[in-house]
Amino acid sequence: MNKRLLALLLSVFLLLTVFSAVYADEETEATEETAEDEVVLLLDEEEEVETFDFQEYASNANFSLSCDEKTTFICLKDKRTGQEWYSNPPIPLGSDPYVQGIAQTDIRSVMHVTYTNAAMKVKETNSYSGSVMKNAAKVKKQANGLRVDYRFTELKATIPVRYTLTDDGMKAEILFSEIEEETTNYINNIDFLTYFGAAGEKDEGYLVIPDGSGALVRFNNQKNMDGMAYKQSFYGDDLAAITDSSVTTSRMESITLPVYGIVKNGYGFLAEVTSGVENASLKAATSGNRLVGAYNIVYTNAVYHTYYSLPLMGQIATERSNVLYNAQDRVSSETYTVEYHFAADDKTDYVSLASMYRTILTTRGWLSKNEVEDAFYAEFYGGVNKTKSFAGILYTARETLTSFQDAQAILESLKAGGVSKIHATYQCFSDDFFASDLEVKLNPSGSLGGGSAMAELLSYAADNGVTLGVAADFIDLPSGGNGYSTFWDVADAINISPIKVYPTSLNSNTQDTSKKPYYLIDPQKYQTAIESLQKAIADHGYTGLYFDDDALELYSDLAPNGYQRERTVTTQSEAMDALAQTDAAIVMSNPNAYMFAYADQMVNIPVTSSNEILFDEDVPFLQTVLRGMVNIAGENMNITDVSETAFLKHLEYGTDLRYALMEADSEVLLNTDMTFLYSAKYEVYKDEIPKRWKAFEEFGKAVGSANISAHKKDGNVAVTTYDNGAKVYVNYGATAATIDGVTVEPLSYAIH
Amino acid sequence: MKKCRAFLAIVLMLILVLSIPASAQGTGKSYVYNHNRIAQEIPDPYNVTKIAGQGLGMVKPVDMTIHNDEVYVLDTDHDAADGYSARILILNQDYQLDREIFFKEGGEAYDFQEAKGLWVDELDRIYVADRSAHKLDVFDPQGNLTHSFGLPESPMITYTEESYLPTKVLTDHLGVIYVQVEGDYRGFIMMDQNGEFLGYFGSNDVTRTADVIAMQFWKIIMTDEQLQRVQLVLPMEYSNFCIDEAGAFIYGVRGSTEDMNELIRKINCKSKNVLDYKSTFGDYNLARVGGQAKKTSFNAITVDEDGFITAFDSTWQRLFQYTPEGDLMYVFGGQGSQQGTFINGVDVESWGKQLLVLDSDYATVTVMEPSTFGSNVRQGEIYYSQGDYQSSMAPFQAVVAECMNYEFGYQGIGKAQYMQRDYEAAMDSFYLAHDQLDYSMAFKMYRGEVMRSLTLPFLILIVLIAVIAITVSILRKKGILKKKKLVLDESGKVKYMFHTLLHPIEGYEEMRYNKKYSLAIANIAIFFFFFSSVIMSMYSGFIFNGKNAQNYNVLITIVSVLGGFTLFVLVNWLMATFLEGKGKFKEVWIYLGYATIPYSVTCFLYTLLSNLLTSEESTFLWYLMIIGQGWAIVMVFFALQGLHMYSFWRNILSILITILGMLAVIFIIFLMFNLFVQFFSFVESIYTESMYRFAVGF
Repeated sequence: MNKRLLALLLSVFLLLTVFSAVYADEETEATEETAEDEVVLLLDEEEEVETFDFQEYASNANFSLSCDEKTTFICLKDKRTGQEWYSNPPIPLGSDPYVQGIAQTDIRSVMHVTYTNAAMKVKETNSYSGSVMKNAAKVKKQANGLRVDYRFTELKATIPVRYTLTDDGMKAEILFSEIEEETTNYINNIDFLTYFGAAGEKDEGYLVIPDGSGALVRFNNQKNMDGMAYKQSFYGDDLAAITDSSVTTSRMESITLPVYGIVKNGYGFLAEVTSGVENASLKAATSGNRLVGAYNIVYTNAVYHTYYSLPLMGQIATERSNVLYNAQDRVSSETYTVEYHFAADDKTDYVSLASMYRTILTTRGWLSKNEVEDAFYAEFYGGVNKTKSFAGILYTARETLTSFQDAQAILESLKAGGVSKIHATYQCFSDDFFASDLEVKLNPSGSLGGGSAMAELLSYAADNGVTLGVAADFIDLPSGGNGYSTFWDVADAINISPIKVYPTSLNSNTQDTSKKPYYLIDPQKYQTAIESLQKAIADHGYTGLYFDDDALELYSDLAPNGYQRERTVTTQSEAMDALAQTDAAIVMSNPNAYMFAYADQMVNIPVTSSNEILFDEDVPFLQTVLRGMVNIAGENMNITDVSETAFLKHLEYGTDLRYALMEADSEVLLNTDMTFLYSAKYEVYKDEIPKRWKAFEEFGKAVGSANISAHKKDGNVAVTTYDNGAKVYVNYGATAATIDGVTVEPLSYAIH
Repeated sequence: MKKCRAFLAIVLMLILVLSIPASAQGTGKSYVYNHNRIAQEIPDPYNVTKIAGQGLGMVKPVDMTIHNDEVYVLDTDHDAADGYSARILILNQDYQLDREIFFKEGGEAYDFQEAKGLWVDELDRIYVADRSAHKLDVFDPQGNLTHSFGLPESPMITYTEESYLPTKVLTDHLGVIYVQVEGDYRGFIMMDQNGEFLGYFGSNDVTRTADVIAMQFWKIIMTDEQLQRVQLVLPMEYSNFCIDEAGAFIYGVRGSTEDMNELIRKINCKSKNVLDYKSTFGDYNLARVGGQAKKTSFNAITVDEDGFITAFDSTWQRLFQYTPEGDLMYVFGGQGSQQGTFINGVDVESWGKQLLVLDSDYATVTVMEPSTFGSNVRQGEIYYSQGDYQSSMAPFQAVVAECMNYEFGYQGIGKAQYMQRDYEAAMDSFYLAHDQLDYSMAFKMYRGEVMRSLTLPFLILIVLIAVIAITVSILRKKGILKKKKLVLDESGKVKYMFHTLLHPIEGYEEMRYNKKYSLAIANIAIFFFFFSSVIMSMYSGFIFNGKNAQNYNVLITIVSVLGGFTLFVLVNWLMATFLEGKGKFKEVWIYLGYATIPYSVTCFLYTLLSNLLTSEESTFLWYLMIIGQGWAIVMVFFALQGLHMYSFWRNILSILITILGMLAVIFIIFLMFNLFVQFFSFVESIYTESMYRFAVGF
């Protein structure tokens, strides 16, 4: 930069500082056009063709890492494939045809930072305009890599980023523990390496999003309108942060794997967030948007200091009266780390990326190769609390849906129908459930037959090769008493009052505060609950425990010295460790990756994504990771989607069938809190289940414990190939189709 | 329901056999309202089969229409590089772009100011409503402007050219043009092909709600200045409309209005709304967000080949589908970035079974088809509305098997069972559907059956009783059986109570002197007063008791009946001091306790009879209640007169003062309660805030 330019820069900056001071009052939310962007436009006029000077900082057998000091762009060269992967598109400033506002410099940044200033206003900056352009970024060589210290002049903080070469790629870190904050500004969250590996408009390929079963976003898919971009928290939303305005009534699948990927012209990488993922979220967008530019991007957003906007207590909730709360403590992770693993050939696809992740998890010990046996999964619902009136005196009655004898009868009936292998779980069966307590003592309710009938059911199951997981929950506290206080023993929201989780009202998109909330146990206080569970297993001889979605919820306690999500992961894992010592098998409902090691069976594994408009197709990414390693089953078909298509999709994805079952008439559930169970009567599905089971019996014989090795979809026909050579063909079309010489009937399947 | 097992095979077939396309996905969470107007989850009635329109360079599509088996989409704010501010994209049946129409005038690009509405008539003429240009443009099929219509001239049109804001347009089979004008509350403007004004269509009336009447009253006493500040009470304007294929009805929708029954109108050729008897449209039990109730605001409507009406709610971006008679079938869609959810839906169209939603911000056309659940509901409804209840049974069986929350399914099943003369089962079904009228019909037939079957046992019973009675009297006469006299009522107080009931004036007056009253009897009477209310609430027949007895809370009765009685006695006794009444508290309690007896007896009788009568015979019950209550009031009146030794007018005064006094006491109780609640929430917020401040270190 020459002196003239610097002088110009400085004067414009001064002028704009004055302006911004004048208009400071009008700033409410983060503005899109900051002072620095005006500068960018002036730079355009220089019309100097920008050149990049990438200097090598580190090298190993497979990769070399270089950096352009002027812009702090990174280039990672894969020596095996010759591919170069840039942190930012190496194009001249202002040459992108789409971007406007702050996005003009975002495209040249490795970090986009959102922070709260002393006046409690949310502001945004990025590493290029906030630091590099001010010559405040310092590049330093490190062992096997390099480090850049970005000092943000306006934010008044230094955020160091470190890149280190690994055997199969690179590790990029934001060094949280070395962040220096000079003032009382809170750094809230950081979009990290937004454009790393970004695909341009001429590239072919897709982004891999592990949403639900997994989804692909094709490059340049024209889905670039505002609002179509993807953003979703890893491991589901934090319940400590659910406010009225954040309630959604659309059906969402969650991200259970802390990964994402890009496949570009046959080359690709899998990125895994290995530290700080608990508070992070995944974002993706395709080219053509003014905030994105001519690139297809997928990246993560790291949280450093949690903040939420909440209505002030005692006030009517309006946008204006919302108050910004910053959590007292920052996220405790030492670093925010993303590890990039590169595929060594040009035949990369989502299946090979998923297989790569399976290998990573196996090495880490979270997954292991197990003998897998396909089974039919049944989820029994024992009973429901129903408010009744006797001579006008209201009382809570335990309405029986499926008694222990009923469950045994259903199992016998299924067996008689030819369902040879059954994995069952039992919900809503214990005194704890009916008494609205933490479900840890697990005394079988007398209304369902009591301990003796349960013992009989357990012995029937043991004799007939049926596994039975009984519902347990050491997290959700519906009401106090029984040793737990809804005040002292529960996690707090950001306003230091207990987190209350209300059901969502279907029609008004808000929390239904007319219903009873439940509370979440303080993550530091699982100990006694786990002891109760251990005792329950010993006392009642349970052979399996079942943890449903709610019982595996990952949440923060935002009280001072509370445990935020990254620490809750640790305490929950310790709890599971303790339970793994017992003889009981553990059944988990769609667990997050950190729980994989403890699960003997996984149910509610989704066979669809969240169906975002941005997505182009669903793929069995999650199934490729899990299938063959652990027993997996889908969601309750008769509640989500019972159609033939859904059945075929389970077959395509190698995911066993699961049904919610009960003996009583469905109408019993009217006027209860369990109306979601609107079609669970066994009688209705009695004949259908054995028919569908036959397909899975055949499937199990052919596939065994094999892993998915290839998957493709050709029009209406999908072919899933397993590494033992088995192939499953599924035809969703209305006409017969022939593929690889195999003819598949309409709405049918073939297994070879 | 247990009787329906035979149907399960058919049911399953119906649930499973209907195939849906491979890429089908559900919409946002779907629901339906139960009889208590509480939303209940249901399976998605529609699946998204395709999202079209991406990659066509659409910028801000505002309207669409189906013409000759093609979809016409009007896209505006088009990149001005080629000089065209708007264009029509024509999608074929596979939702691929077939061709585009650019608007031209004499070969030059035609510039719209704010194109809002699109219509293509039977002669392929294209109509575009240009809101800000205050006119309607007509183009030939190639997009060449043929002519424009400005504001039609008529003495009936009272506004100026500048305030003429045409937003939507359509034509009927006769070529009559209907224009929906923003801000015009008188209905749609009708004009002929020469632009001559033909009149208003679908005019609205101001509904006489309590608010409107109150406003008329205030207007009489307001000053002119005050009047100016008050909004004129006007009927709501339309937001969109559509015409059915036969051209028989025009369907209009409106944005938010207080009159939820006016949100959707089905207007016949005589400009009459045939759905005006329907109670309400849109969402119930709305949450308040930011202090404001999020009311349903329809901005688009369509009617399909089966006559089902679908309207789009711009508040929550949801679709409401109604039967041709205006009954809600289900609500689906929603706000979001997922398939089947929307961010700014602006139009909805029916195309065969398909439903198309145009989202202006996403620039997409979402194509949806009924799921198996939706198809079954629709099929059931079609048979049902044709009166073919037998055929509607199977689809409705499938509906409730797939979702027990769908109350209307039980009604359909009940009708079929009724036709099959299975009245008992029909009663069960109607009970689940919460359909009191049909329940009553089934009950009537069932009662007849039971009575016929009981005739013989009944006759035998009568003969038996007669024989016993005769035997006893014969035995008595012969002195074998001796009549024992039971003396329970030594003091004669019970006997005197009955005397008072039948002769209230004399009975109460003398009661002072002969002291033949008893606290015990009064307390028992008051207990029965309370108990009979409970019994009536709990055990009245379903036909006469719409409330769910299982949710009945005795506390309400305790407060209202016992509390009310005590309060009346207390206030009356207090007031007696001012009006020189002679009664003591205990006496007021006893006298009035006696007076409740006729009412209690009536309640018991009502409860009993309500389980035996049908809704046609409800008049009996009505008279019974009138007699019981009237009797009780008479008793109260003479009780107070006799006790306090009031004159007739003084007694009336005393009762009025008592009632006023009661109101004052209730008011004070509420005030205290409110204060307490406020105080409590104040303490709570202080606590929360201080906890937070303490935690974050101020």
